[in-house]
Amino acid sequence: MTAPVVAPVPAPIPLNERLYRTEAVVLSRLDYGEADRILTVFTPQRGKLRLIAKGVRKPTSRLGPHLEYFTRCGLMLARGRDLDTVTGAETLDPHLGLRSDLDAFGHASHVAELLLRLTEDRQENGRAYELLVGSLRLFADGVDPFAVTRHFELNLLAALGYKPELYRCAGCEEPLAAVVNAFSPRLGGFLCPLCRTTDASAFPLSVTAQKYLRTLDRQGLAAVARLPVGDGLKTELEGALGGYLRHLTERELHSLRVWHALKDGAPAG
Amino acid sequence: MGRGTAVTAQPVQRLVDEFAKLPGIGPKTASRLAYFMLRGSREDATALAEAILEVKERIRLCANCFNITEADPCGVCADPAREGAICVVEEPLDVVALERTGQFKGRYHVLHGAVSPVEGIGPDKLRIAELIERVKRENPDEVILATNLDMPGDATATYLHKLLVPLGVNVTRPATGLPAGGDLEYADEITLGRALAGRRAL
Repeated sequence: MTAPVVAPVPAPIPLNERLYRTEAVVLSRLDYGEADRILTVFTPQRGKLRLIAKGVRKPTSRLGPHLEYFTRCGLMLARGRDLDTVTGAETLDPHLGLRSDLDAFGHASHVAELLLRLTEDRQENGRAYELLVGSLRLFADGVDPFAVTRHFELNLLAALGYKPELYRCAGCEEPLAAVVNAFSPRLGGFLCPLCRTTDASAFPLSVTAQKYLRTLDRQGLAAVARLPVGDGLKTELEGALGGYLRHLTERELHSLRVWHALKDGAPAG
Repeated sequence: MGRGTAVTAQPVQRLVDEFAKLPGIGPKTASRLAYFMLRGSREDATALAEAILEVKERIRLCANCFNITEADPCGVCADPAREGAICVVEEPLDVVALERTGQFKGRYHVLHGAVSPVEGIGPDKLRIAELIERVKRENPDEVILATNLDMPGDATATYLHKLLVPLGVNVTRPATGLPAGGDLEYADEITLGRALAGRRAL
């Protein structure tokens, strides 16, 4: 199992001064006015864009159904003063599997949330788009979302220049030994037992968890997908990467918390 | 309080700021509304102010179905003729839409939203625990999950289905298909696919 290779997308063709075409994935939607929506989408050549889609909440809207959450779509856009306007839309991949699978839906929400919080508007990042599309496809296919999500997180961090240091101590820069080392979100890497006190907020990570991250980094998704991962290790890895992501976004990330609530069944109260 | 306070009298600016808090109202529209109120009669202004205060003072949520109501329990919940099924919707306005059809003779349950992980809206922020309690108590013939047919609505329905099935109640979801007045050519793949799957004999 590997992340599917996304066919290279042709560069945007300027139709005229005002109109342009792009592929996009819908990350979030906000109802606006009588029947409009403001969308935040991620595109291969233009990064994150905020768009306005008019009349899409009406049942007879031709655009509406193509602009659903997590849909990979082809868009025709008209430049506006503030937000560009969606003038045409077609579905390329609706990721139907996300609709009836709460695990897939929760993890798709998480990867969307990371792109919303960690990327800047109109900052091109083709690698991030490729990761997004590949991960959504695997979620929709019902692949266990754990490995896919950790792969997305680690590679998105790398694509944005925040890759954590997995091989050398962030304090003394000596190679890390196969012992319990502490992960420091603030320093973006591990601290060896000697440097451990440099950052009081660093938390210990087991040898197995460190190995998982290095295997994921060196050998990719297919290699870690084969590894047996128990609940304890899952909590550890989700916590380590989550802690680092929270430190970078400087805010609470909601999706995985909500996913845990959905998974655990009956709501509290 | 923007930089406009120098040229705009303070009470006018305050009204503009209040209007600007409303959904879909930007600073330009807010100014237009404020100046409209300024030019209008005193009676109109009083009527608007009183109407706003009245909804805040007299309207509350029905303790049974959580629809907005003046009386608790609400008219629908108090009507003995309405029984059998509970129709679960996201918003009070959805009840209005369903009532307009005149086709549904059961009662409602308003969740006040749908699951949205990115915004941090989980099951605990919705009236879901109350729904489960109600189903256990009232033992309805059917629970219709009429949340929106978008991704959050579908996820909410999937979650509710998971919780309701063990209670032994019949759980349904409204059919999806082509809108009245819709053109087949312009239908999206999901809708058209579901419309075909759910076709009926004439």
